[in-house]
Amino acid sequence: MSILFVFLGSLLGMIVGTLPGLSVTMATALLLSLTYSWPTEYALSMIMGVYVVGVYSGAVSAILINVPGAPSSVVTTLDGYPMARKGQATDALFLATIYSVVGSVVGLLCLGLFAKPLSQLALSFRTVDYFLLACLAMGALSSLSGKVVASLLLGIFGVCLSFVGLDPITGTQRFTFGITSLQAGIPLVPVLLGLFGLSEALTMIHEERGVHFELFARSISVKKALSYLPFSLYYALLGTIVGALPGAGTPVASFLSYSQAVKRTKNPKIPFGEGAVEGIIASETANNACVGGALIPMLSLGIPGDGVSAVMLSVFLVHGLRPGPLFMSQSPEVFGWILRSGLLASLFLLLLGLVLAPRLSMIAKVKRSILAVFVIVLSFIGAYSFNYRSFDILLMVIFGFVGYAMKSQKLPTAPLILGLVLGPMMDANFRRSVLLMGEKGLIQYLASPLTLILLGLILLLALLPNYRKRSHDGDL
Amino acid sequence: MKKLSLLLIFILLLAGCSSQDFPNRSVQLIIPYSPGGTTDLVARAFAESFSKELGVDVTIINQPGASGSVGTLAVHDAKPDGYTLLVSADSLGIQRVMGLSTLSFGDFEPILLLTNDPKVIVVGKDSPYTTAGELFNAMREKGLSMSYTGPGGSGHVQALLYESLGAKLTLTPFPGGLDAIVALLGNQVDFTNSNASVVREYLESGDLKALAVCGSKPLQIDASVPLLEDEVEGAKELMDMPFTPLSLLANKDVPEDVLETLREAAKRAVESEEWKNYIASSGQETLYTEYSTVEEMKSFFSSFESRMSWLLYEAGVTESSPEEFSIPRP
Amino acid sequence: MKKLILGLLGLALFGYGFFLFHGGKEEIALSPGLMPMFLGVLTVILSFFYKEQWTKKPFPLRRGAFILIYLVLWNLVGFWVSTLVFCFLGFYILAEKKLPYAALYSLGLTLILDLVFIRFFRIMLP
Repeated sequence: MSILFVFLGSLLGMIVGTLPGLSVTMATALLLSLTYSWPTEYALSMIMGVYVVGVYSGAVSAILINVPGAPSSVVTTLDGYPMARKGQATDALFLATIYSVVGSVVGLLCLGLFAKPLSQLALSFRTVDYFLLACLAMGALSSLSGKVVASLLLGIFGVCLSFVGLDPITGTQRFTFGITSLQAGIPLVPVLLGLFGLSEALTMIHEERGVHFELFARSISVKKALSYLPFSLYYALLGTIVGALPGAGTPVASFLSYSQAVKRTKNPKIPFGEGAVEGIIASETANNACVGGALIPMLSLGIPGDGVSAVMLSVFLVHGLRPGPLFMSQSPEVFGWILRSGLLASLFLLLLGLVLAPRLSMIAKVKRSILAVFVIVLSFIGAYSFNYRSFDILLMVIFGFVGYAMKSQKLPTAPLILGLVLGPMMDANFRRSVLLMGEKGLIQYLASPLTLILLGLILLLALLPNYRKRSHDGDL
Repeated sequence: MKKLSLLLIFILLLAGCSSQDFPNRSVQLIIPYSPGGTTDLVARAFAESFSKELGVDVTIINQPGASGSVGTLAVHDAKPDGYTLLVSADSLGIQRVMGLSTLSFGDFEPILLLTNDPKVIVVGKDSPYTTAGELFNAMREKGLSMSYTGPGGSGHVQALLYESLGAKLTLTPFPGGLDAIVALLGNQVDFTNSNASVVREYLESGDLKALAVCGSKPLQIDASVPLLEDEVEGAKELMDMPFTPLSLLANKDVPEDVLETLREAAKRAVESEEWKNYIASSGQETLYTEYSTVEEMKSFFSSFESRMSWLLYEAGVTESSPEEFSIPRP
Repeated sequence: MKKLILGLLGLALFGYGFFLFHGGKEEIALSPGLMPMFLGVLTVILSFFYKEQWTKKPFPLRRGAFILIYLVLWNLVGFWVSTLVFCFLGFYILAEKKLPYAALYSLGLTLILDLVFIRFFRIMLP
């Protein structure tokens, strides 16, 4: 019976993730209210369905229309959309599906087998380690497009945007210039919708008025697709660990993985940014592995790893469960439900991805201007639904125009999002570390194994070259 | 033409909202914090029972941001018809002096005072301090580090009160109560003061130890935790009020009869089995038993605002002085 | 020219960061102005390396106008009317559908959105 609910959830997740403007967190919050009086097992089954499939399905719209369905799919647009433009949408979707399943399963296996040690690892991350992790991910700025300088500058701009509002450490207002509505800061989702959604819609209407893309049948064989499995495992583990860190979520995992892929892949058949499958694989594996990862601290410590697991936490509490360090020993059957529904949802992901996604790629054939109207309306609704503020729609529109200007100048939009996501992690944790350093000297404070490893990684990656075409006024 | 007129009729039908007896459609509870936090959970538990008493759906809308000021403003600006209500936490008492907004408890009509989550001083399981007395001595002698949830929050208020007892503290802010606990679990700070409902599980598992309750009543979930006033000289006068009151508020201009309906329904809602079970299992204290009339609620709010505003102002952490808003000294 | 603008922006950023630092009581390593100052310096440095050209592109007046109309209407009358009007404008003028079809599609789309978002997802659109 709960299988039915996992399936319903998976279906819902597929819809929610594919449509820009609807997010998994939103759907989970809705389910929180909806399932208040349901038996716990059914509620959790449905939520796991939405969670697992929802994180994946952001890739569908990312690939098909260059509009990420969620912040974690931003990187998938970088190589997924170019593939769609060349008529290879089916291939891209196929890979995204398979590797999302891989990531999901790895994450859940880690949850099932290594929850305790991994949550201890997560606890040992101090604020300085979060800061270093953010720096590591910021290194992705140089890998997102051929225009490195522009990417860096846009990344800086994104970080500045993230500073708007109340400073979390001192409560001082930054960059608000007296505008009350800015006090809460610049929210991620409306900006994402504007920068990617609205701007793309504007481009669709003009540049490609009657254009639609070719759609070739799948050309990648199953064997070929699976040959990337060893490659993907690294990103699955990366995603799981990042997910297990409270405060770092799927966007961090996918950006970090993409930048790693760019540095580590010596000779991609197609360069990154023009349809390198390695890019799609890395980011999709990582963001689904994050799901299992985020559940680790949630179930073993009662500390959510990301937004969705935070809502799940309240689902537990509402149903009388008590998440915390004793949870796994007190309610082992719930743990089992979650694992089972997660794995089941991964199976449904595979099915839905293989069966539905190719049908959905028919969207690539719809007249762009009609699609555009649809995307614009969804962006409006999505921007409003995020926090029930009309001001966010204004932000969305502004960034829509900004994004359109950027796209017409062939500037990359992803770095801005990266900066917006990582800014607070870098700034707040740096300053917290200073506070926590206390009287200890800098050297003594840094002298913990984890911190040294992270420092080493940053140095190493800074020195490795990028396997990416550098360009100044060529294509992205 | 036919389509146009059909369209018009459609629009008119949708727009028309008959004003029969209140309530005749769903009521919205605005929670100015993210889902999953204490305010959110209390509100959801309350909404279940409240909805049964009102006879209509009660939906929850989360509008987090700027320490609760975003959602608060939304209710303030909404139509005063009683369909949009606010579940507020303690921050509403200090938003003016902290420069977050121009609103305070006085800008709303109280429906019901809900709960208070007692503050508990906790240390890690490997901590060298086993009593609050030892902890305070260490605080006074060499100073200790504490994690909290940011300027103006209830954790900050606690820290200021301890400092007035002679403690020296290095405060490190974290986004939420759970994050403050994570920092303690990871041994990055010496202690924290947490809300009882949040810290319950860690006390039970032994990952954290509770050294004292910062209030005048023993903890429901563990009566063996000593009161701070019994451990530390001078704490009694400081710890005699609820620090984390959650309340249900309505827009100031809502008509009196609608307010009455809401108040009656709320009172009945907190008598329900489900709500009582929730309270018993969460470890929070009820406030409506002590402050049940409108006058009592209003006077509680003004004394709360008074004490908190002046405390924060004198510690030098506010944007403006309480005098600017005619907030009297406690 | 672009380099100059960027350089100035970097200086402004640095200046604002300094202003924040100056107005606060914290030491520099803790100040909210720290990052803005640091980023400002970075921006100035990067501005020297900036090489992008600016190609003149016409501004999308009609599309932009429709979107602004949508925005304004949304704030004035709410979700239903504004979405209906925008969809109609979009289908009729931008997608060049015939009038009755445009009207029908826009009504249909708005209805579907209403059903999905308001009734199903229970999101209270204005």
